[in-house]
Amino acid sequence: MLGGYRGSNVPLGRTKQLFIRWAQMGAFVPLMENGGNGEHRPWMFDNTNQTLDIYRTFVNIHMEMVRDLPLITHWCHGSLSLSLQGVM
Amino acid sequence: MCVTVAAQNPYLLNAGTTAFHSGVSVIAPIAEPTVLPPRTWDYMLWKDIFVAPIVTNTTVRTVEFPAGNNWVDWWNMTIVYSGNTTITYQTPLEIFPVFFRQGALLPLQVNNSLAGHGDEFSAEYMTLLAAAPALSDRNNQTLEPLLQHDHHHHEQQGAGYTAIREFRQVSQEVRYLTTRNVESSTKSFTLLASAHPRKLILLVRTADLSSQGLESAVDVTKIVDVVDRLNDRPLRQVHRWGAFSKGCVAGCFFANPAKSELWLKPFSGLYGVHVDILSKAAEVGTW
Repeated sequence: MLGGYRGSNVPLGRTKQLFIRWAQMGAFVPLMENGGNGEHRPWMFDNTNQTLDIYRTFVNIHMEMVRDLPLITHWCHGSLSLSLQGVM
Repeated sequence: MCVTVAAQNPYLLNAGTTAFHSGVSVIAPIAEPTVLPPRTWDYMLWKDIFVAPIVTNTTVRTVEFPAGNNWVDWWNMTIVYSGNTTITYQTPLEIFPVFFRQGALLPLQVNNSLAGHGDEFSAEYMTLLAAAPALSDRNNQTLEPLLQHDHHHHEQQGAGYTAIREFRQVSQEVRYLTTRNVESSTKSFTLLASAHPRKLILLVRTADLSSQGLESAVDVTKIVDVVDRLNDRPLRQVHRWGAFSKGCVAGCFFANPAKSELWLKPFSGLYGVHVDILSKAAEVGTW
């Protein structure tokens, strides 16, 4: 969960640096998810778009490795499970 | 259903399904299991990607590479670090310390140019990224055939391997071999891919590449379990990125020495793919 469920006492709940590093690591784990308490929109952390640009690049790296993962694993899991085979 | 759709799968899909099936984790911490904070947060993302996460507010990090493999810098694939070494790695905010195993082939679904692995015309293809393939000096070395289920094959010197899908059983594989002929100073790159429904783009990134060295790129489409070649069709060389990405559907290659890249689109892979690339004899030290 990029940036953490709960923020700390800094103005946006987390610093720009923490948010970027968290997003970067999030790209290199199987599930990259953004959400939680406080500010999580990448364009809100600076006026230069630096956070947004970095965030966008890493989202795309993640999506290159992971495209369609939730949908297909759901189907693969379903094909393992007898209870869902009729649906498949 | 799973089999047909999974033909689209990039790296993490194969990792996830295989991990699910065999009951292991996609993420393997480098540190020993402990109830205390571990000595390092570094981890392997499946078999080929090594991540050294930044857990403090810093722009420089000490990276300790796992032994047994060489590690290619994600952000500059001409740089290869030896295993079991420690380096100081600069990490401005744009850079995160990620490396992948030399010899890996990373299957990617590229939809745009943002990550530097293609552009919007890559979307119909599966992109295979081979970074800094090691060269083998053994002239008589041959590429092991596909679908042999030998778990040591990817440790062959100069060889790279990926199973695009190994859920339940290995069903799609890609393998390459890079060799250097010491007598004639030529180098060769051979790619084998088992039958696959999706079109392929191969991206080779290594400091060893230069366009002049490419004497021939021959694409042979053949059924993987038949020894005899069905036909030989040379790949067409194109000289601009647009002519490769937009202008060519299959059967061409584009060398970009400025970026140390070789891009290649084989012919249809419905019966498997076999590509041979040879360098000119005069071009010592290059492809």
